Amino acid sequence: MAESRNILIADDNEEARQLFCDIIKLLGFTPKAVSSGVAALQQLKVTPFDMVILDMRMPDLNGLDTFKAIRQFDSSVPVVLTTGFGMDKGVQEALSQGALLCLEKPFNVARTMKTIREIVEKESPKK
Amino acid sequence: MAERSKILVIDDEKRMCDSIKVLLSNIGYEVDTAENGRIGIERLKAQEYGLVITDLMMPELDGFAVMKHIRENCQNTLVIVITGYASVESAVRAIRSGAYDYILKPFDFEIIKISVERAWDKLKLEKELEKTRKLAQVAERALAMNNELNNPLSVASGFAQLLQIRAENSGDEVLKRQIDSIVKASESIHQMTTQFRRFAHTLLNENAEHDLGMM
Repeated sequence: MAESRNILIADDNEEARQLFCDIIKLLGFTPKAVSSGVAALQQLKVTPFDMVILDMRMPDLNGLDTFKAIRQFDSSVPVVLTTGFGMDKGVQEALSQGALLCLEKPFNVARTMKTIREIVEKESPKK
Repeated sequence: MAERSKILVIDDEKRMCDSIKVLLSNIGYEVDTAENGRIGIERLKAQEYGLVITDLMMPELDGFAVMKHIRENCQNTLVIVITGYASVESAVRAIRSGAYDYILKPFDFEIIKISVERAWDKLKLEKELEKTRKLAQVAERALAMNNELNNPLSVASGFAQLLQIRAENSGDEVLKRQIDSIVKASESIHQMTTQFRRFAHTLLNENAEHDLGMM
């Protein structure tokens, strides 16, 4: 791949972050992992990303609130959620406000890779 | 409270104690007696009683002292007080300070029997309620843990699937079979957590703490 795509991952669980980093590297993209919603917002303000993956349950700022905060200053970056707790109200709200989809943990890696590639290529095409 | 919890009768008239004991023993209750408040409290310290029937007017420690001890030390014990017609106001005071029922002297034994049976039903109901509450707590905890399980499971399953991709063209059949087994086992666990979540949500939405008792 000529030009790398940057994907931001926010998850408070270290292994989960590593898993997403490995998946994204396997796709040929560049992962940047942070452990909180606040850290994700800080990253997004200084670096453009082609996609953001947010875990719904994080201690300081949860996935829904992080998503809402992102939309305050970036109306277009594709956002995908992850959750281990089912499609609850928070997930529904984020989806209704424009989050693309929610990956329920545990997930199928091959399908997830395909999904990430499609989102990055469709939603964030390189000029 | 044990299934066969006992009744304690406290009265300074020995004849009264004995007749109540005979009456209640005849209909299947286990009864101890004490001839004054002090001895009554000693018995209460030594073992648990479901129900205490106490006279209010007694030398040394009266029925109110017994009730105070019960309030402070035996939260699951019900009290029925016995008092003379002349002192109805003390019966009212006893009810205000937590007695379950009162019986005015002189009384028909049938009255005692009815009061004791009602108290016993209440004790049984409270026990059931307590059990249901505990089961509901267990269920809530189980659901939370079940959901929590999906996080480490997704890590195990995710890395196993990544290994599967790497091993695909390795030609190492044993390695592939071993990794496949981890992936399959993860899928089984996931099916279980999904089933449990659906089951719990169906019950919780339908209603009833009672239903949780079935889990």
